[in-house]
Amino acid sequence: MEKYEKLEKVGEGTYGKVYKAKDKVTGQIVALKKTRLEMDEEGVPPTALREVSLLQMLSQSLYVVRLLSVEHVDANSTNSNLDDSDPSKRNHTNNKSNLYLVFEYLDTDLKKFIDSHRKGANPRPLPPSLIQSFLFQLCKGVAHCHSHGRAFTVPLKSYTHEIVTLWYRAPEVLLGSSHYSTGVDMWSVGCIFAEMSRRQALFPGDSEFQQLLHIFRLLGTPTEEQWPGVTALRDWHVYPKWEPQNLVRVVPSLGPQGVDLLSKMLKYDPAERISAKAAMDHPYFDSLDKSQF
Amino acid sequence: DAEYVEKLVERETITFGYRCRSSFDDCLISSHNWLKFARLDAIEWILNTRAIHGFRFHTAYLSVTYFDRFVSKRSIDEGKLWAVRLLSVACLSLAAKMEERKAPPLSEFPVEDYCFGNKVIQRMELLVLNTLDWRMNSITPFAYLHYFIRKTCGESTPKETVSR
Repeated sequence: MEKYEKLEKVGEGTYGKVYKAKDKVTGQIVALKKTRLEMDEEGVPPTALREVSLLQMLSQSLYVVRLLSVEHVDANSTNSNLDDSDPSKRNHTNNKSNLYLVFEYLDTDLKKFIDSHRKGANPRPLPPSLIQSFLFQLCKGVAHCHSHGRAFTVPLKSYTHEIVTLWYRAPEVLLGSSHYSTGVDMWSVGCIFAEMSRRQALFPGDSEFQQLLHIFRLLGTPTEEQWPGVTALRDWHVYPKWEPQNLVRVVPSLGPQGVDLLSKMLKYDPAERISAKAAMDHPYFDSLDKSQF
Repeated sequence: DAEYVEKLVERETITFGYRCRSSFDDCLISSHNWLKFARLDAIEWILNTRAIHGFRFHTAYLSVTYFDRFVSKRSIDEGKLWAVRLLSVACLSLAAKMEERKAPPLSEFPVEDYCFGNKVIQRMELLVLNTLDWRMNSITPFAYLHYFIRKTCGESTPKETVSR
């Protein structure tokens, strides 16, 4: 890790901290994602293990963030540059070591980009051609992940329900389905598509229950006809019966083709939801020069 | 599904590489006999431990491929049986974390006469990971089974026959 000079902290989450750093020899700017290796019963955390093996497989695509290397650092080794410089903390972290995932550095992300168009000195909508281009690249990345997706045999079946940030979580996950699949990602893509147009989240729920109500109020409460098996899902209850609203009202600037594609991404029945690959062929992208990607 | 099998072959080549394979064959031919016995002993331990924890056979198989890839890249000094056992624990623990819904705590791997602390096992896990370049998503023959069974036996084959 002496290879890198830490420049600044760029993010922090439940997983740990992310730093912007520079390779001292080549000058390459990278992002370092730090994961604590606790000296507990677990050994190397399964999440880190899976993240790295998955990323190694997926990083071949231009549309997936590139993992450059994995570095392991013992906290007791002389590494004042990267470890907490607060001496009181150092004592506590003495026998802990860290794992650094070294990624290519990207200046911004879509959330920050949308935020910059929503607030600040010059709030303005995202140009429709940009939304189109971003959505295409998003679909391309997701299609790549899905084509390599059968990476883990067992865990793809009965999974944790704590996946995906609440606002982008598909209804089948919220309703406790244990056999969800690639459709959950297309739901998220749909939510992001709408968010680029609106500059605010489509379903900003603050609890799982509120999240469902947000969805039902816009798309109508799902019925057995629309989504066979929905009432048999583990967390299904009797909900108020809302009628579906017209999607145009929430994404007026998207245009008829855009609204059509969005409605196909937000189908209740996961089996009916459009795939990433099929989405790339949707007429919404007809006016896009796809050869540039 | 034919496309899926193509992807598997592609990924198999990426993870192993042919050089790695042949070097393992060389290693088997030229290396001391004791390693062969130690390997058989390790496989037996892995299979027994698989049964104790109720892991899938695939998990045991995967850990043996980790084991083989490791000894094809690094040597273990003759007679260091504890190192072989430590390596087996690390490989099985890593495979369980990759494949099983819930991996057991490190202390629940039975090591009999040896006493490996969690820290030691974790260091061994890291050594295995670094040696294998963190490429743990290996394609094993199990991945092809469903495809070929369906090809040869037709669509009606009950899934249970190959589910483990």
